[in-house]
Amino acid sequence: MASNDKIGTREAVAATIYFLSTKLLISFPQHMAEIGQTAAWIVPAISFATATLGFLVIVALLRRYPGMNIVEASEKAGGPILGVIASLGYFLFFFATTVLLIREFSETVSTALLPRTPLSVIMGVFIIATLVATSMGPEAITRASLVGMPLIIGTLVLLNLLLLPQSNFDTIFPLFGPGIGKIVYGGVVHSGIAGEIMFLCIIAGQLDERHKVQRMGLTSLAVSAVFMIVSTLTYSAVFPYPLSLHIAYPGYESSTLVYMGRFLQRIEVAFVFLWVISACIHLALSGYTATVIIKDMLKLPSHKPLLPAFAILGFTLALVPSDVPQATYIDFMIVKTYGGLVLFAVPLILLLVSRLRGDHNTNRG
Amino acid sequence: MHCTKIVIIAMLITACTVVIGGCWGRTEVDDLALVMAIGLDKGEDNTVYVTLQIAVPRAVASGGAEGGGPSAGGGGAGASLITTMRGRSILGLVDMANTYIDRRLSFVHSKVLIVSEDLARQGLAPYVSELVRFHEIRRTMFLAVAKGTAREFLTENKPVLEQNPAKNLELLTLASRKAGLIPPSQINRFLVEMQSLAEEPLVILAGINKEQQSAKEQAEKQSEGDEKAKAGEGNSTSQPNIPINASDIRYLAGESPSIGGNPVELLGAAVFRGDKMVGEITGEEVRHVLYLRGTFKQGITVVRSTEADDRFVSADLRLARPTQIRIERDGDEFRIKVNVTLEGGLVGSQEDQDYTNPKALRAVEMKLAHEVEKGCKDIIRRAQTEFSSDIFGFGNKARHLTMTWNEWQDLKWSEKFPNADVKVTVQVELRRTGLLFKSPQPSAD
Repeated sequence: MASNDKIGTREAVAATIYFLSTKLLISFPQHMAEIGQTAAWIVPAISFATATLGFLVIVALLRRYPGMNIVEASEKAGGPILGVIASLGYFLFFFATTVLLIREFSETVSTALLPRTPLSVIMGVFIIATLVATSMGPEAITRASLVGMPLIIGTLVLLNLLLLPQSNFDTIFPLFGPGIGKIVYGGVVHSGIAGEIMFLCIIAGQLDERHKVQRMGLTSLAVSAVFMIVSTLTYSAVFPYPLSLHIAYPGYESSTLVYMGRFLQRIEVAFVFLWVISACIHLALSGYTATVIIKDMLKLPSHKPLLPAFAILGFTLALVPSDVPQATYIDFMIVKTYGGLVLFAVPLILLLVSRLRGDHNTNRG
Repeated sequence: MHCTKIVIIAMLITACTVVIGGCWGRTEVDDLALVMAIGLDKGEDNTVYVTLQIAVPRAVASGGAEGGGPSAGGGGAGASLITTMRGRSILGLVDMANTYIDRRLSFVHSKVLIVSEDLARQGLAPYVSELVRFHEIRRTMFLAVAKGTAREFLTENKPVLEQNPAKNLELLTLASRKAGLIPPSQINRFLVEMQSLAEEPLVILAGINKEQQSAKEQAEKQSEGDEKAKAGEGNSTSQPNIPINASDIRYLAGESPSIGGNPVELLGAAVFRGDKMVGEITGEEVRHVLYLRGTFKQGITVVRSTEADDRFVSADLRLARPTQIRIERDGDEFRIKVNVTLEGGLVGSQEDQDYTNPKALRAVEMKLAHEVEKGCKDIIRRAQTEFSSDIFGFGNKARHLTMTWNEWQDLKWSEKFPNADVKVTVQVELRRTGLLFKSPQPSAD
């Protein structure tokens, strides 16, 4: 049920890196500090390592059903009931991610930049941008990701460098924060922070070089892990624990701290401009992934008729969390915690079921 | 279908131009009153006096000739308006200010937060926390403690060279910081150090020059026609009698041996324990703290000549390499070894020495190293006995000795620091002798 759009390898990798890394711009580093205290930077390392294992399981499942994406493969391996439950789980993860990101990005813009603009207007703009991009299809979104890739890499590298004068790396000690056991547990449980890697398996049917999906995924995970670890490390050095727990918008607050004398300061406006573009691409990717899962589940020819309904539903649900702390709590402590279980444990069960049944697709796609 | 597409695209473009342009929350620049500095003084009954220094754009543009208001001051004559209010919350008073200031107050360009010594001794956490939550306040704002009141500091600030009050405040902070006579003190750094278990805040000390004030009073007396003071004293009294200390930089803010120019000065630092001020140190001591922290930039150090007590040698020094701090633990005892290496060149010498002779240069190096080492030991002793405050950040190295956060908390560094055995060694390497090898001397005749 793949659309006619074809996605190149570079575009797919760029989109996946975007998908995995953009959460750095919201409250991600602060949540890492909650879990890992002074060892906040170790948590994403463990989460990404766990997610890599999970991804290899998903790839193993996909290999049993060549030509299919993960939704179709899950249905084939688990049968109509287990397959639908699994796909519903994938959908919920991506839809919740989209909804909560709309709220979190909008709140960041509202608090930091446009405090007099109603939240609904900012959310509306984000939703319209997502709607337009999603209706253009995956080819357009992934190409935009490739074009925008230098932006996010450039801003992250530049920001980390400019923050060096404000950093004190002694503050990452004691090295093991709450203790090795708690860090490993926190990292494994929150493997959902790299759950977006599933995106590659959902668009697998549209990839130009489908056989390279494993390599694409591992590359994306490795590059994103480096970003997440280095950025969280810098954040921990700039806002040492326990101050790191108090910052509501770490990405924005970090950028406002850049002060290299009278002539290089107040540069956050440049970062914010690029971050809004990144946020739009991220929302387009997650919005597209969510709708395409439902499209495949319902065996629809196109995802486009679903978009207006999902846009209205997304807008409404994004307003459900009563405040910002609640929205970020749901995102990181519920979606990114139990999301890992759904995204990585369910395919493992399906793989085992498929192996026990000796089931596999002989069609080479 | 084609027509519908065009209509949708047109609607989207229109919506984007209206919404993205920021029309919703637009504020014209000439509707804003830009607050350059915020002053906080302690009031009675748990209240606070909030003083705002607001730029008068027309006066700034015309070089301070126009403008002014209820209490004009700072940034040239009348380049800013200074107003004070009393209340319970800083931001609560902002709306109140807009009942008599015709432009909307904006803090996005605020450069300095000045708090009075009284308030600093009471504790700054509630006020700093209140401010940093507000989106217009930047954590890069400088923080200073004023001897006397913050209002007095802001009203007495009469810059001569700079008309723009924002630039004046920023330049003042940066210039003293470059010389290492005040600590780097931005709000974010204060918050980091205030919450840290490993180090304590050090904040810029601000004051109004006493010599300036007494010279002003003297000038007023003279203008009233005090003929006796004018005629009888001769040339010896035409020079003001400015008291000096043993070192040219051993002064607190407000005590520098100078007259003329802007009466306000930033010199020395306020020492904190947590959010409360517990003491103050001189500019010279700040420099020693910066050597020990490893954040000293560059500055001129003057020592007595080895050959004559009334001759002095000046060297421009900087850190040759980051200060090395090693901490060893033996039960509850901590031994700290600090190694400071400075390098630089001679910039002035009153000695009759030939510095091409390696022994002469070596003697100056030894003297400089000895003086810096002595200064470092003295300030460590003060910090341990008088303030019980680790303003050097030695605790940041002590963190390395623990593996988990609970272990680190249980270590209770603030209690261990006063009893730690600290050994300091200083090395000075002079690479250059300035523009001369030997000092010019008058002929024997």
